[in-house]
Amino acid sequence: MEKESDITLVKRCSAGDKRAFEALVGKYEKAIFNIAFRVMNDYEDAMDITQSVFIKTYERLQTFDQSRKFFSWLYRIAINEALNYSKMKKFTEKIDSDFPERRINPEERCAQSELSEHVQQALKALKFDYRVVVVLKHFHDLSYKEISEILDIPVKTVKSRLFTGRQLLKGMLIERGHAL
Amino acid sequence: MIPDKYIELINQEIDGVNSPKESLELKQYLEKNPEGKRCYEELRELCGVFREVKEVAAPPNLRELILSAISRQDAIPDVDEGRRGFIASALAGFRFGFKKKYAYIFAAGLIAGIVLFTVLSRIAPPPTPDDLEKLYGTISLEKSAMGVATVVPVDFELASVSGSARFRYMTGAIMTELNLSSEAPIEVVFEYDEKVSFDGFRALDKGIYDIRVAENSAELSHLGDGNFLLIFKDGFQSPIMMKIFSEGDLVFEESVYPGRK
Repeated sequence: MEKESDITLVKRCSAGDKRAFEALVGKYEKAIFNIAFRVMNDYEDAMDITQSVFIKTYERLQTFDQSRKFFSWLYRIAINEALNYSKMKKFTEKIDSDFPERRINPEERCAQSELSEHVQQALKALKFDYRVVVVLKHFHDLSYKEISEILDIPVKTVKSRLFTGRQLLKGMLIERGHAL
Repeated sequence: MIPDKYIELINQEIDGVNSPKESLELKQYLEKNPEGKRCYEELRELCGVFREVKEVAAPPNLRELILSAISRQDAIPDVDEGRRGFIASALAGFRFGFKKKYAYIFAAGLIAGIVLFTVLSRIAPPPTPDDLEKLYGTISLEKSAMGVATVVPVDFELASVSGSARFRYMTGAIMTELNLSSEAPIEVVFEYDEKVSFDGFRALDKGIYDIRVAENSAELSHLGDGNFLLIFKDGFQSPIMMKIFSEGDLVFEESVYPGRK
């Protein structure tokens, strides 16, 4: 049912109905923002990425293969966008290396508990490939198959990245004093 | 040491995807193996921690930001094309969101124009001292039929980056064609006075880049090979300072203005 509903909105949007696109934004903005935030660990980056994802989605809507799930396509755009931002940040952060601790803005502080902040810091330390799989599995409750479709990798690779990512996170949280 | 097979079964059990047979096999293994049992308990706890982490609230104005950005894009084709001049319509085409194929066609036209201009300039007889019409210096312009003043290209071949920048001063605008090839991250900064303002940007290749615009500057971060177009609004043929930074150090600097030789 959900898939049909997305497809209907996509079709209406392709026919020039802007309200249909507004409905798609309304439906997925929170999820995309959360993926971006968990992957980037930065509130403002997450905002930029979310905007960029929807602009790209709007521009490329005509190329969307309607036999596939819309959310998989949208999530893939989000992951690619986050990956590009991540690469960009790698070298801009070099310049800011005198300030290793990231400043947390007030909105972000409100949004995160201490536990959340610890998990977020541990996630940040994971390699991008592992981090993405863990985020999609544990914060978006997606199946191995759905993750494999989004990332365009075999289910076996999804499992391997997820198991390794969890193992690494477990080690990091224990190291930081969390009793598991 | 836990065998790979049981690591997989432990993780699958946590994700709730084991078959009853697999669950039973894992249960029997965990009963006899304390190391495996500890690993299972720790991973189960970890997943419990994930469940406790709350969803982050998106900024309340995020939807408006997205929709207004899309509306701005949509506004470009709505302008009455017939009432727009050739250059104005070409410039609008290079703003965010314009279809790529038109950007390529326009870029190809520009390149053809440059080649033609270069060829015609070379075959023209050299200016003589008494031929004042053909004399140009720091304040005169190289004119083309369209009123486009092309500044001598800025070429650079540095350790961190090579490429070129071509500036065209048009009526009310400066169009900058930037070609970059870098193995390490670099930043190209354009600085200008208050008479100039940033008007549009287009990346002609898929690549790694980011652009930030401030009141009197535009900063392009880049890695790899890329071609870009930047458009500035300008009514006074103002100079633009182009700087290249590599790892935070200034490695190149050039001032560009009409008539520069």
